[in-house]
Amino acid sequence: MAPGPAAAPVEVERPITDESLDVDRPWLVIVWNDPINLMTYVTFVFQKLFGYSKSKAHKLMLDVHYKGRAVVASGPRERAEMDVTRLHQHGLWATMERST
Amino acid sequence: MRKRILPNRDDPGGCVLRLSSPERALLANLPREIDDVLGALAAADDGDRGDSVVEEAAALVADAVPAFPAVEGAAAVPPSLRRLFPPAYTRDDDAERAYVGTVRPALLEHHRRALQTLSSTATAKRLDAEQIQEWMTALNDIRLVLGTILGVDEGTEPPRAGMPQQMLYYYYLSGLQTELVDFLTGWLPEPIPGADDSVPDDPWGEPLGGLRWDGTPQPTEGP
Repeated sequence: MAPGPAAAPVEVERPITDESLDVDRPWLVIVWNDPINLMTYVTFVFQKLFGYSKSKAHKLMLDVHYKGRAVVASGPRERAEMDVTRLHQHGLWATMERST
Repeated sequence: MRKRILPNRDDPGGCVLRLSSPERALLANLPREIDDVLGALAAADDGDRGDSVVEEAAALVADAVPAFPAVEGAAAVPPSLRRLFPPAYTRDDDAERAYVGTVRPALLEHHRRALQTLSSTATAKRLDAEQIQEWMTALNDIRLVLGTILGVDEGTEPPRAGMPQQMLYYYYLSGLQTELVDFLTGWLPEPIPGADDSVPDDPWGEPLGGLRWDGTPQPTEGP
């Protein structure tokens, strides 16, 4: 696609309620069950990406498998989005939701 | 069973491959068709060619499942490749559009690089640590595509003689990936001593009304 005209920079005053500062409502990184990814692989990915112990990674994998999903990480939006992207690179079904 | 992936004593983190010629031929060929479709998708994203090119390329890999809805500004992902490009935001179209715009080019490149590495090193006797990671990505990608095409679910029967060839490929790749997971698990760093080992409770009940993000029902809870 051809590039559009460059927009003039506009200074925007960020509201003090910037959601990235709302530590009480972190973003949750959720991995959903799927029938294709190997259980051992999912455990391995949790260990590799998040540095979890084998037992924690295994428990999370079992939650994904039996409960249909698990919250595998949480934090500010930018961090959660980075985690989701890394999980997508590894072929896992990951989404993110704002904690209620 | 005879191990096919062995540590390379001369290259810590690397491995020696003990694969037969038919295995190597399969591993060289399987990634190519998927990479062709990804290449067409990348071109369509860039506006070089229309979505019809993607559809044409996707026909190389049989499609049997519904596609994700197209995201504005990006070409529709062929159904067989839907598992390689999951949505990040399922209830916020604007955020999802921004996510796809930001992430998809790099994600496409990530998958293509891995598939090309697998194809080009399928006849290698040894792999270095980086190539092993690419193999893991590529094997998983191919399994995701094959599993999607074949409609693999919890009730899919175990491998047996006489199964369709694609299903046998799927199970072959599962076995090889299991060996790779074993190998790479041995190279993971130790977890931080004293780190929180607890798993948090699901904090929000049923946010999607008992459905998974793709609209299919949640499986019933297991033991």
